[in-house]
Amino acid sequence: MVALDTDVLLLAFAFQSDKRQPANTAFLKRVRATSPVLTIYNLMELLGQLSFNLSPAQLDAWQAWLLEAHQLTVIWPLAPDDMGTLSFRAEIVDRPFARMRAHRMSFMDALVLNLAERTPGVEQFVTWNARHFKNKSTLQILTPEEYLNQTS
Amino acid sequence: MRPTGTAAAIRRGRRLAKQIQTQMSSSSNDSLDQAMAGLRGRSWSP
Repeated sequence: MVALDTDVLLLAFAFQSDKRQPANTAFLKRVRATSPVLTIYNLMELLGQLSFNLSPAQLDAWQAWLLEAHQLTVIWPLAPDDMGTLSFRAEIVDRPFARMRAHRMSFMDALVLNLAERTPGVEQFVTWNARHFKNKSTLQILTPEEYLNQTS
Repeated sequence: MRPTGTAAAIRRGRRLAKQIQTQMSSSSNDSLDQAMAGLRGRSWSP
């Protein structure tokens, strides 16, 4: 199962003339059939970024234009109804801090990787920033182009 | 949180996604790299 980083989706929605767009579009089309996932942290980061340009009504419809359009599943640290039992300190402080110390990484990168790695079935993380993540995760880190080459 | 995967939901989702892409193409002044550097700071280095 493939986890997507925010940049792959931000590129798809906001930067149509970017030179990476053809590979990005081909990647999203191919990965759709494999039940790709997005962490709740990536989702909120993406919605926050798009909130500067979209109307409240458009933001409300995110499950349609994001989950349905790309067949994405959002992953949480625990099932949403069980979040009250989550250790806030472990999820938001201890695990990200351990990764920052070990790998020099931003808070959001650390949150996203921690959750993706701990989600059963996730084996790959796809981002245009793959160079930054390589050797810093137990997941296979790929760019969309590398994913396309690997699965062709 | 999963997609329903029904044909109607997928059609609607793709139609709305296309609208957003069209809307964003006329309103984005910066680049993906500028936007991601703003979000992730020094760790954005594609």
